[in-house]
Amino acid sequence: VAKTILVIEDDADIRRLLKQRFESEGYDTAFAWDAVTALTIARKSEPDLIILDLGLPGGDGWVVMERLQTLAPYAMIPIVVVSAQSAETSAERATEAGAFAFVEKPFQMETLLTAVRNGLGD
Amino acid sequence: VSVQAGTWRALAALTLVVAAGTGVVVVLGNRVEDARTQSRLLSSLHIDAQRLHLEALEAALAARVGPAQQRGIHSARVGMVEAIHGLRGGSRRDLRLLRARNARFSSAVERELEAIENGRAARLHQAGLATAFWFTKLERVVLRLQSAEDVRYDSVRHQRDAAWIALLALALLAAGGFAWRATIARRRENERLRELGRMKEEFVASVSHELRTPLTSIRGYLELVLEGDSTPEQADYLRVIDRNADRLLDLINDLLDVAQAENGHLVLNREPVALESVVADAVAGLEPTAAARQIELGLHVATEDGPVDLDRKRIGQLVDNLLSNALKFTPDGGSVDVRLAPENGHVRLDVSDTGIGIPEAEQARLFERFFRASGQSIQGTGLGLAISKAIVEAHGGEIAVRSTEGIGTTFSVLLPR
Repeated sequence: VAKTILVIEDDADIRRLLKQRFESEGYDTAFAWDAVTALTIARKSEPDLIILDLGLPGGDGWVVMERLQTLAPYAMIPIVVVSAQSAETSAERATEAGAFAFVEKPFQMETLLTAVRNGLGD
Repeated sequence: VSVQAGTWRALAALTLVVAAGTGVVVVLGNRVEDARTQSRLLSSLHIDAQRLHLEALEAALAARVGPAQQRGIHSARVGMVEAIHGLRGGSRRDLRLLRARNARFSSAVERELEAIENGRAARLHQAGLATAFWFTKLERVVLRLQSAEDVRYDSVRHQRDAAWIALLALALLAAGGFAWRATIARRRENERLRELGRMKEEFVASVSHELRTPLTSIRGYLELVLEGDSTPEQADYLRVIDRNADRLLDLINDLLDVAQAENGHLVLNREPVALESVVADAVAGLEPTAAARQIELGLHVATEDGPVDLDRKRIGQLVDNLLSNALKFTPDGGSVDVRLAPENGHVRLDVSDTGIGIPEAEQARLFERFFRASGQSIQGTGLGLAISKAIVEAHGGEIAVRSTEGIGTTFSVLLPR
């Protein structure tokens, strides 16, 4: 059974890019674009890994991060945080908040894929 | 810098005010001392007058003058004592009054003497003696009154001086106040500028972050296309796009650094670091570039003094900047040397090249943002050296350049251990 990756990202082009990439790697994908859809789709899609863009509109990235960490069904799902904020300022905070990995934007696809594979134990 | 100047100005104003205040206190002290002297003098005058009064009565009794004469002498005396009393808190007018009363007193005595001369010859001698003695005493009293007046005069002069000094102090206070206001205005201006700087930094930061997202798409899709089927020519063009996307990212990162450095916010993450290893890493990272252009890249380490407290990432960035520059401006087949050596409690890092060199007139402006030496067509953001300087200075170090056109350039960095 293919593992499912939930991508929470507000930029449509990046969502499409990641869909193409992850599906060509044999993963199933689900997408959300803001804090509200993130939680609904997380419930529906039952992901094995979540990719979360911290730069959601209105600073909602951190809110989603916190919700996912505190809601029982999602607390065990590894989260790979992606952010256009420089690693210096956000990486530590993300790790403290329970992120599995932090990837700085713009990322090399290979870097993100490595983080995803590690997160899924592949 | 201007805050410091303002502080000095405020200190100077404060010193002046304190000096003026001291002057005022000294003068007031003198005045108090004068008043005390005068008061002592008046007290003794008072006692003298009382004694004289008694002696006058005794002399009058001895001369056996009549009760009317005795009363006359008595009242004249009392008037004089009262006048002396009045002088204590009074003015020059009181002294004039005292003199007038003294004169009246003297003439009363003279009248008595006349009466004695006219009617009672037998008592003449005794009374004459007593009165002569009396007049001597009176004269002394008047002399001392004169000196009391002098003290009063001095006091008036001091008062005038005090008034001048108070005026001066007021003027100085006003000047100090203006200086203070100017300082505060300057401080406000500084704060405003700092606020503007902060806003600019924030703006640059948010713009940089906004630019990263589209760059993610550009690079991601380029990668996708490059992996697919494209003609060699197309692939070449796509790589040009990719290279320029990388340059754009470098520029964004540099702009962020410059905005931070300008605002004095270049945050350092200091830890004990073996500088040799940071330098060696940077050299290793650029070895392929150097090898591709037959540039000899030499590393000479003459320091084993243990780790230095510095920001590993920033110092890595610094060495990388200096090395990339050296490679950029050195023709194929040249050489670039990195030297690390202790110097007077500092660590000295030299990066020398056999490149094109920098005209002397342009060396001073080299560390300015976006400055490029004339005639260079080599690509870069023009921010590298400005950032390098900011990194060195944030570490409390110094950076300098020596260069001869056509021979080469050496950048030297001194970092405190």
